[in-house]
Amino acid sequence: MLIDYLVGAAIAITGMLALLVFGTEIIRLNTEARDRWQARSALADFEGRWQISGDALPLGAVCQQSELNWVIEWCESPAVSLLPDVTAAVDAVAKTVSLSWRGNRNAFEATVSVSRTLMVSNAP
Amino acid sequence: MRRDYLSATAGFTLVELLLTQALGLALMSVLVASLSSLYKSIQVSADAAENGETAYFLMDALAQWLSESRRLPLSVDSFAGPVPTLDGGYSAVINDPCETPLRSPFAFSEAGVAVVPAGNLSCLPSPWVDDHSPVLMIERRMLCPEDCADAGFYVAVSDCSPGRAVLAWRSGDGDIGGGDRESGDTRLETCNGKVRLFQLHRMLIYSRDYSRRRGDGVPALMMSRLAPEPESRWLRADMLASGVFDWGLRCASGCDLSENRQAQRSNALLIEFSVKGRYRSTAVERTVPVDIPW
Repeated sequence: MLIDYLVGAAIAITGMLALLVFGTEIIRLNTEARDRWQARSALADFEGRWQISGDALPLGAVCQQSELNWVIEWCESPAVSLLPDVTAAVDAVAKTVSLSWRGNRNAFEATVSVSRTLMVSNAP
Repeated sequence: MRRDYLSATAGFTLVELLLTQALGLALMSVLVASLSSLYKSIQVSADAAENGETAYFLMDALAQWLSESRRLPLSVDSFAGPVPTLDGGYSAVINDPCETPLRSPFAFSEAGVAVVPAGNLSCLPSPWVDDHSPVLMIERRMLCPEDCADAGFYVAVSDCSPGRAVLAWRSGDGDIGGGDRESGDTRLETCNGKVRLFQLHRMLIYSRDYSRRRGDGVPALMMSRLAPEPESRWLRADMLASGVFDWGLRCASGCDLSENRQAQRSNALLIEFSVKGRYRSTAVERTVPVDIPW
């Protein structure tokens, strides 16, 4: 009797815990997918702003160093600023701009990064 | 002896059973509440992810179409001026976006993009579109890899007469209408040199105040295309996305108004809109250059 009850309770609790883990994973994947879409769009926005700015390509960690107005506005735009612990960098050699942010929105996950190759022929 | 046997096999007492049931119920209620909360969170996150995907995919599609509207590879100096119109006037910006490329041409030395208030367009279903809502008019210029056999509007650019473009409508069996804007020539092949042929596709992108049935209150982003026929006829509109609110187009660089101030051209557009779902909405904005040289 007691063992039946215990086994039943253990199965129920295990099933619910599995559902909790599974559900949490779904939320994590949804969040990550949304962040990636958002970051890719932000990088396209960066390229568009740069192409019409007439400025030379800012290099390095642009959101920490640059004093260009369009870069500051881009860094403050929701698509960039809403990513957790985001950093933006421009690689002068590869002509790429990349966004990195904390994955899974907790402190223990690895950094997620998305990059975009800039159309150099359009540079002013 | 018999009492000891009974006490050993009588099972649980009522208090033990009640206590166990109470603990079990408390545990189950906590787990069910957690699952319910989790299920709600999953719905919200899935809704947000779906909205975001729709919004960003839509923005990518608009950016792609805008990039295909780039200026033609002409010698700019010889074709950069205002475009002659059929009524004998000149316009730097298209004046009647509802017309065909032959009757209301764009300047090929500029991107085929204009922003027009919906109230100025006779080819839109006016009862369902706000007159002040901006309409994005795009003329895509698709380079034919060899020779395009489809009916439609074409522009031929020749190496042996740089800066000169021949615009014509061609039926599927090769009959040609229209002609060179400058000389009235109706030949697409103007010399023996290399001729690059571009097919023109005009489309209007606008916001309608319903999605699936009239009066549902869910705005949708629509796309209407010009039929590849010599006379102006717009095909039935396709819905690009439903639940699109706050559709806005702003000039980001190089703004130019038409003579009658009915259309605006720019070198870059700031496109913004939000996609609203059941639980959350996603707002996106992007600066898209439209005057990209080859």
